[in-house]
Amino acid sequence: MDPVGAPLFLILILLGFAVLSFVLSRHPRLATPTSVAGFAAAELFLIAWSKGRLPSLPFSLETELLSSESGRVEIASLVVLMGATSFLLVHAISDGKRHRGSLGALFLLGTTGGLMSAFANHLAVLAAGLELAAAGGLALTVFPDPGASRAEAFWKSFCFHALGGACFLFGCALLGAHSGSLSLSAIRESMGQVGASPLCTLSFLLIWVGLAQRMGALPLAFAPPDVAEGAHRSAMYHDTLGRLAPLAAIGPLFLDTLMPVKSLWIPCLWAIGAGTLLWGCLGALAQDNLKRLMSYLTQAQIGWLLLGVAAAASRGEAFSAFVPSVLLFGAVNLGLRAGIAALQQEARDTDVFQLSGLAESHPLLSLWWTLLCLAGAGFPPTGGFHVQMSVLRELAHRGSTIPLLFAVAGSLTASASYLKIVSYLYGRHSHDPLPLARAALLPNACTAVCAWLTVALLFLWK
Amino acid sequence: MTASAPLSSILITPWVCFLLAIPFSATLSRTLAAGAALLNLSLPVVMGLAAVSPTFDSLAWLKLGGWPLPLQADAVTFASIVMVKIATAIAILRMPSRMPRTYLACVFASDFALSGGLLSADVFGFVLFSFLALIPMALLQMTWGGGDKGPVSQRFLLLQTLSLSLTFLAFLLVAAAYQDQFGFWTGLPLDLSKADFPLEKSALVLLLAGLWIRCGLFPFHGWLWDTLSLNAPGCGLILALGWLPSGLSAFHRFAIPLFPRAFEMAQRTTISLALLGACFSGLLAWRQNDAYRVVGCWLSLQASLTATAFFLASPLSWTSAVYHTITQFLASGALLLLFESLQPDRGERRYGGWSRVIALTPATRASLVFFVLCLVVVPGSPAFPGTFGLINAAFRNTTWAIAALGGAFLGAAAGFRFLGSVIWVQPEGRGTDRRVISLPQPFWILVFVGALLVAGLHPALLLGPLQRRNDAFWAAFSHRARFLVPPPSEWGKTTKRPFLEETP
Repeated sequence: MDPVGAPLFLILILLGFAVLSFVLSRHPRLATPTSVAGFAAAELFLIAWSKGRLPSLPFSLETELLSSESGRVEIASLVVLMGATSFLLVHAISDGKRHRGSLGALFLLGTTGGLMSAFANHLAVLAAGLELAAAGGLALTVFPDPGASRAEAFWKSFCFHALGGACFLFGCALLGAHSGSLSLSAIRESMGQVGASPLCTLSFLLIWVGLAQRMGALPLAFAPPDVAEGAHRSAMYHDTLGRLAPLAAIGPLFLDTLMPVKSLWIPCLWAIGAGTLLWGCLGALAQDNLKRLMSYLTQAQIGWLLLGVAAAASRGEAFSAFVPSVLLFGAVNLGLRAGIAALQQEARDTDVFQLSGLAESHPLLSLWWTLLCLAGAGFPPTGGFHVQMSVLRELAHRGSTIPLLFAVAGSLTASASYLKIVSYLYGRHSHDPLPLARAALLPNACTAVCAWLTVALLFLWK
Repeated sequence: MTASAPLSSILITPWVCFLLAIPFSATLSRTLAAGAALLNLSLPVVMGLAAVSPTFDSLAWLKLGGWPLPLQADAVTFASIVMVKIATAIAILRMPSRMPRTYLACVFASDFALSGGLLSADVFGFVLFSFLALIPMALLQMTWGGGDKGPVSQRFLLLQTLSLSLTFLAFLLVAAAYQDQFGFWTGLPLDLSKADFPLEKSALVLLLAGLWIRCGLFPFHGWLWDTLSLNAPGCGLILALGWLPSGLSAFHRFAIPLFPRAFEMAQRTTISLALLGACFSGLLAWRQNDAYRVVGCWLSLQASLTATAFFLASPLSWTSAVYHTITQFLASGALLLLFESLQPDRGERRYGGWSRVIALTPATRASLVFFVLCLVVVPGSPAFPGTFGLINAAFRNTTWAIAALGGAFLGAAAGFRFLGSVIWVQPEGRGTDRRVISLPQPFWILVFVGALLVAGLHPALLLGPLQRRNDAFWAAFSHRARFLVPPPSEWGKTTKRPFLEETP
């Protein structure tokens, strides 16, 4: 197959499996394998594409709406991998077989949205991909049964989602009006020839606000902690797949298309990154609820990543550690949430102090948690150390000390929160420890795999 | 003969020891681990003997997962590694009954990381190994510490993370400025003196701030005695015999050679601040009643004097710093172990209260006297030659010499107060000092006494095998540092010297 038609074929595969999963949702024993097969097919397709061994088709699937650049395959693989892993985990902890059938469809649709963002060559496709990716998270907020806290989480999430989506669409409209087209190729040409205008600056600002809301970053970062506390499954989706789609959109839209006018949008990115890092770090310090704590720490990770992207973009380059960073943050978040899933089965609320003494009763689980917290805090022997080093290296290349010191201060503050978890695991004793559930093999295994992945990243990093 | 085998094996054997010990029962694990740790101790000796060979290459390479890591050793690092191995062996013998395998893992991990930091000839490798050493030390405090271990261990971890982050930032600024020639620190002089480096002062400030915090120097000294007060088994030893010497050695290995121009401008400030810290720590030691906090103050005092010696940057002061470091930290390690054996069950931590409840054996009394006199550098103790050389070097400036003497006297006064409260008070209780490690007390006391005598009174035995390495290092070091050392005829004068001289 000609690689030009590969993205569309891939998206059609996933959509097909999503529809099939939805049709089979009343039969979970068929729906779940169908969903897994969909993810597997997508991943195999991407592997074949990266090796140049695409299957040939009797018909053409070329479209100008999607880009077939080989550089986007890597992030597309990441999207599929994250989608599959988070699906399996949410599936494992879901109650009631009859609800599990719909999960596959939701995750496949979300993954489709992420792929559309990654391969987008048109602003409308980008917007549609982001909406599709976020829809699954909204649905999971009230899945399987809406309760008071879930309803509140849903409405908050929905309102901010709508606001963010509106900002993004309005920004795209302004950009399209300036360039005369919504195609990213045409916009790139327009920026190169005509340059930018005040209208462009406004459009960049609105687009960044919209993307930031999708990522859970400032200025619309208020919903994720509430969602994390009230709807744990939605948080699992959002922290992995939900954030990956807008991150995947940064490359095609800003780093490829709008690089000629980077001086207009980079200050916005700096502000969002620094503000989100500050928001996440300070918010995490005040938390006792484990889920809210992790949500704030995830926001701090996003801020950290955006600082690295901004520093690299200011030199006209892409952030070299982008994919490993996203992979690492995904592993940390998924692993920690899988650990919570292993604990949460019996208890409703999960406060940090309930982890006291876990190191004595469950040393292996505590070891995985420790590795994941060390990865989040940026300590060796995990890949988190490389992530921090990469971001600091990018900031150092700019030649000024203030951003470096700010980044270090943010890292330290976030480390304090991660290390609080470790100190409760090893340093405290509890007369009323959180019961470890009935055998939760998959969450425990997922925690272990994610922990080892963070260590392996230190050695596999290139 | 190359350096690869002994230097690399120093890093690998802790893990071999750990894997040997883990599968067995707790008692057998401790025996095996202790034996393996003693074997581990022999490796630095082998390294020292290998260094005598005229074909010994000073630089070795270790492949870690595809990373080529340069390793190098000089006199300070060689002695420091021996101390780390001693700390590991003693810490294993101190193994607690609760979670013993986790304890062994922490001790061997800290051994590996501290040895790696001391051997690393790469600046980023030094930071990486230092980060690796933090985790087991923090776990030792969190899990087995007493008292208020939660906040203290978190404070320790965060402060040390801050120090390493600042150190890392400084190296990063240098690397960013000299990307072409700065791949790694090979031990050969990296000539940054003639290049334009606008952020040199900022980088030096960051590096000094980071190392200052790490070594517990004034005003960042509070964490040191709080951490020692936790009395986590093994942690105090590792801190005194590994972490602090490693941080102090970084002053002369990295800080001064990397920033010659900026350091020349900052020399007076750094020496003044270090000596201020020495006096302050001595004063605080006089005020303390808690035994562990007293040792923490002494450690801070001696670290300040050692840092002063490095900053003075002369052959005499550098050599004095080596002896000073070794003897002081050995004596403090021995004292920490002795204090553990003296704590009665009621948890009395004020040393003035011990003598009322414990009848000290003559051996314990003699040991206390010997180690305290070493730690406070009383003339006649094995530690005295090092400090004498340091103060002699400080006479380049009268104020510095007086401040150094003042700090030393204050520390000595605290030592005599301690001895007076513990040794010469008639006991009222009937209890005796208890056994805290598997070896009989006289045996391990003799180990420390022997090490102190070797270190303090027989420098040729310690430094002789590496004298050629020292000479080569000092030749390279002093090539850049000569502007810091005026000739004796100019000592006491205030004339400004040009900061660089061309080599003839």
